[in-house]
Amino acid sequence: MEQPSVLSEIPPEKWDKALPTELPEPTYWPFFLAIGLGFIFWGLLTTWLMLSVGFLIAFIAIARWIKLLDHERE
Amino acid sequence: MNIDVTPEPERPIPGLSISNDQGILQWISSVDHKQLGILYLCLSALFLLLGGIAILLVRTQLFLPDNHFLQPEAYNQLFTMHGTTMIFFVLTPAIFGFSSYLIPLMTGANDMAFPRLNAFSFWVTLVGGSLLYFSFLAGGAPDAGWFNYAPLNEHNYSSSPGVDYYCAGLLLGGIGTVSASVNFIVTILCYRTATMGLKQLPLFVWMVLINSFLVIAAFPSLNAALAMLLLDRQLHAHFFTAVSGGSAILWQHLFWLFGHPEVYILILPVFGIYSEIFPVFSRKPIFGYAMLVASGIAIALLAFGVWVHHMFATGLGNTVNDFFSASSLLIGVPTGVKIFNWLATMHGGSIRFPVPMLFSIAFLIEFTIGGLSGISFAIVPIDWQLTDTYYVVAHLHFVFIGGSLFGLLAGLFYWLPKITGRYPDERLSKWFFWLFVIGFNLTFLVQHALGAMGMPRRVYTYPDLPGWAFCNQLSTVGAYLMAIAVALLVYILVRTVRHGRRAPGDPWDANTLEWSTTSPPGLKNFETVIPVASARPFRDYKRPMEADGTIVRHRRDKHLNAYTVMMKLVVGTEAVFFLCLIMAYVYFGLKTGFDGAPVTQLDLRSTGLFSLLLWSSSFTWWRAEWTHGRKSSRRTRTWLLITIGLAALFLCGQAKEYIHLLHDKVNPASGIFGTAFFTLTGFHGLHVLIGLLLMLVLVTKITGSGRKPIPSYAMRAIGIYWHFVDIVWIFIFLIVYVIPHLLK
Repeated sequence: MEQPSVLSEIPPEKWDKALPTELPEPTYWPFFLAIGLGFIFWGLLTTWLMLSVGFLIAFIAIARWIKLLDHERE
Repeated sequence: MNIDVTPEPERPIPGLSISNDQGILQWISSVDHKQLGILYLCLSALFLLLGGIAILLVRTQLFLPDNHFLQPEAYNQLFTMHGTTMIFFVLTPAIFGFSSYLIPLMTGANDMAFPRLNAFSFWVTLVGGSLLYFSFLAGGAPDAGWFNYAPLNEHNYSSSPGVDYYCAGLLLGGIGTVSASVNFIVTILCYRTATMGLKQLPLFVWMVLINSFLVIAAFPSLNAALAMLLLDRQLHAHFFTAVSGGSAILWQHLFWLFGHPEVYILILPVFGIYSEIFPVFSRKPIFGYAMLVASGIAIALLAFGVWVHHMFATGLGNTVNDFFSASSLLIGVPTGVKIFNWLATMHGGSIRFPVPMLFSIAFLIEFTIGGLSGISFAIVPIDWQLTDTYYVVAHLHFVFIGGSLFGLLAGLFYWLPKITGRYPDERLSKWFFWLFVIGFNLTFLVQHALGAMGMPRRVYTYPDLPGWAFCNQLSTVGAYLMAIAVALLVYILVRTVRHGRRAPGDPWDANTLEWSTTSPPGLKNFETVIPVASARPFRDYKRPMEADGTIVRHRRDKHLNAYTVMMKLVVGTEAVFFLCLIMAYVYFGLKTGFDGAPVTQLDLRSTGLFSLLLWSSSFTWWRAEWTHGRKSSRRTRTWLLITIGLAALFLCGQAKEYIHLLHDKVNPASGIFGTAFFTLTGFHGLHVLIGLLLMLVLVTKITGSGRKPIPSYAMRAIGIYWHFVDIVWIFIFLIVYVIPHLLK
């Protein structure tokens, strides 16, 4: 731990940077994952068709979300 | 002194106008915590209108005795939807809206730890609420009350699909609530500015932190109960049907184990809002910062020890009643401590009375009334007399409206200049305040009397007994006054956004970091953050000669990795979920002895072998992590594939056992053993499957050269999950297989 100091002794250029320093890009995949989950639950109560659509949307959304993370990592 | 750190933006709210380049798509794709916070608040407002319309219809029905404005079926659906909506889709999203908007700003961060998860949390909450309301079109809304007691929630008593949509909607909403809470905790622990120690956290942030732990510990109990109920209704399982070995009381235990902490989930962050407002408008530091934090923690802990006071009328016996009566009286103490803290903060202060402060002062009175009526329910004979009467309705509304909603409205008027960059009209806002407060008291004060006179809640009409009609008419008039007030609030908000007077960055001469930015803040909150010396960092910056403390560079818990902390929290909440399922299994086993079901015919040897395969996968996973740490992709992939193979073999073993049992006509519908066995092992199998899929994704990522290796924290996070799945199986194996064989 560094030595305590008073505020006036710290010039603004030495203030800490806020995290995260870079903001993520907007993305639609969280929205579609939520929609996919909605269809899955709707399908559980009604018909396998809705359930399948839900799984399909959720799968695509998760895959694209992971790809986004991959892209950022690369 | 120029106190703005970044220049004023041109537009009132970043991206609010839909006439920009992306229109509404900008909102759908947004991962900005401020926009998501605003979306949460809009969602809350939308459902407030829906839930409000429902209760206006109910109050219209109750205006006259023996009235037939509504039929009983419609009445049941409307009061159920009102309660469910207000708790799960109005108060909770409003709290999360403020949390999402303010946590990064107050802690000197630019966004949440997981911005995309934040977006998902919001959207899944909206989808959950929409699915709940879709029930109106699907054959009927839920009609068994917001706490949905068994056996009323079972198919025999509620045959419309409403209760199914209740389960689905609340499960989805629960996913959003838990994931958002995990995000809040990680953001506060890992992303706050380096000079901000825990002792310098703003009190709102402290309360959200405590509250988030409360959420991840309490919601699994509700989720377990909802999953069980869905199985009862969809697969004819027997969790809550007493005639076939189930237990209606189990629903009450599971629901209130969640439900009472939920009361505090809806008030603790609001206590944080009051703790920000009182010192600013009293121009004094908060009185007893440490005691406010400590009492918040005490409330959170005690919240799990009082749920049975909702069940005194079920006849659990004097010993149980005495214990929970004492604990329910006890929880009033830390709450009382907070009230005195706020009073002491105002004492001797130079008090201003803008609308946020008016709501805060009104809260002190209304919430104290609600608290005192709550204490009366801790006294068992009084509870027996008043349970299921309008006295309960009055009490809970004094807590939820007088406590939670007043605080949220105080927070709305306090932070509105920050969010919109504009002042609301002060005169209209005060009109709103008085209309709402008068309407609220008119509606609910008389309901104490109605309850004491014996009027039961949830009955669609009432006889013309002395005083009942008059009190109900006062109550209905009050409800319509509140509705007029809410309409005025909508007008004030629209007018503020469109024509409000421009607000500076720090309109209230406030204390915390969010006021050091522009109003509204830019897309990036801060480039650099004012060093934090106390819980009033912005005030210290503005008045350095009166600063509260000295700067200490904290390590911001750098040893904590956001992903591993997130996974530990997820595992924690899943552990509570499994604990509920295991306790239900044990309870039914002890209660019924499973009535000769084939509990001792389970194949211990075969399952033991498959269990060894699963447990050994923890070792192979550890080897995969170890080799990954030594940058050996080939070996990591090999160990991962072995782990996947072991997990797949375990699932095959479980499938073989299921086929064997189904062949012997043992299934979830065949009896209480099948219900409990398939649910417990099925959910564990689902977790194994999810882990297996996660590992398959990892294997596909550890391929080829030239790609950056999988980060070690990702391996660590999935490892935490995988070890958890294996540990859970130790308990299940012992309880389901080993102990029954030993006792045979």
